[in-house]
Amino acid sequence: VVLTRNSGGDDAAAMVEVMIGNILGPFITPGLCYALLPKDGPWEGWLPVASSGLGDMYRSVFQQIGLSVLVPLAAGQTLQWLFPERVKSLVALFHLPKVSTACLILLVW
Amino acid sequence: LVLELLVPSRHASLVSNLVLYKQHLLIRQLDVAAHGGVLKSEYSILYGVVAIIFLISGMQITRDKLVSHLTSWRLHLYVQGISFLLIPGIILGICPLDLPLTKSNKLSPVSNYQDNHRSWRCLKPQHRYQCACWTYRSRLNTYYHLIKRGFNPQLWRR
Repeated sequence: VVLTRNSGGDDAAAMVEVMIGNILGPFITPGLCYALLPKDGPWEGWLPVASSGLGDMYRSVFQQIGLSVLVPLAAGQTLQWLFPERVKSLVALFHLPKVSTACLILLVW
Repeated sequence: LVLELLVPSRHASLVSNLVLYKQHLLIRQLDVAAHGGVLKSEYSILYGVVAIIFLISGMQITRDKLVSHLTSWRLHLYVQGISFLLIPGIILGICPLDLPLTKSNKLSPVSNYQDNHRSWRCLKPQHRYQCACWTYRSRLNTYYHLIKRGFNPQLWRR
């Protein structure tokens, strides 16, 4: 989203695709792993947990997506809806687009 | 860290303190961003920084724009198709997933490679790790290590 915005693209479209991808990913990716990775050999440890442990995995994945993507997004939208002018000036005052670009660099960690 | 350098212990010379400091720094650098490291990146980065990015994005993108994009099916098809079909397909093409295994599925020392040379097991663990990395270079690495142990890749293809 940050890269799309900085390159002058449609950041709203990118945001929608990120949300859809984040929700589809946890269902499609384990399926791909089970279908394509051999059960033994050098890929022994690469499979996701045995299918009995999938419930725990989904819980932690959706906890993370909810807390780090959906809740902040909803909070930002709500703030914008409640105080449109003030949010706009806040974004300009604290150079928030630049802050999110800086945060993008931290994501390698 | 700086304090430790500036306030050397009474029993050590400055040089030994410097050496210690360098070792300390090296160790610290290794676990700054590790999970459970100095930054606790499993919380601070995975939750904190990602949340900041999406909060800022949520404050900038207008609701009308978001809603109008929810129904652009062709865009969804393109983007999700690329990330869930095209990219896995490319990786599958690059990555040799169907490497043959030994008859006895046991770990054996490298010196025994004659017995089970049709196998990853004839590689030392560190080489096996190198080869299992999903890059094109790793395929070349695999051939390199296998040929070095007297194995002919022409015969290896099933």
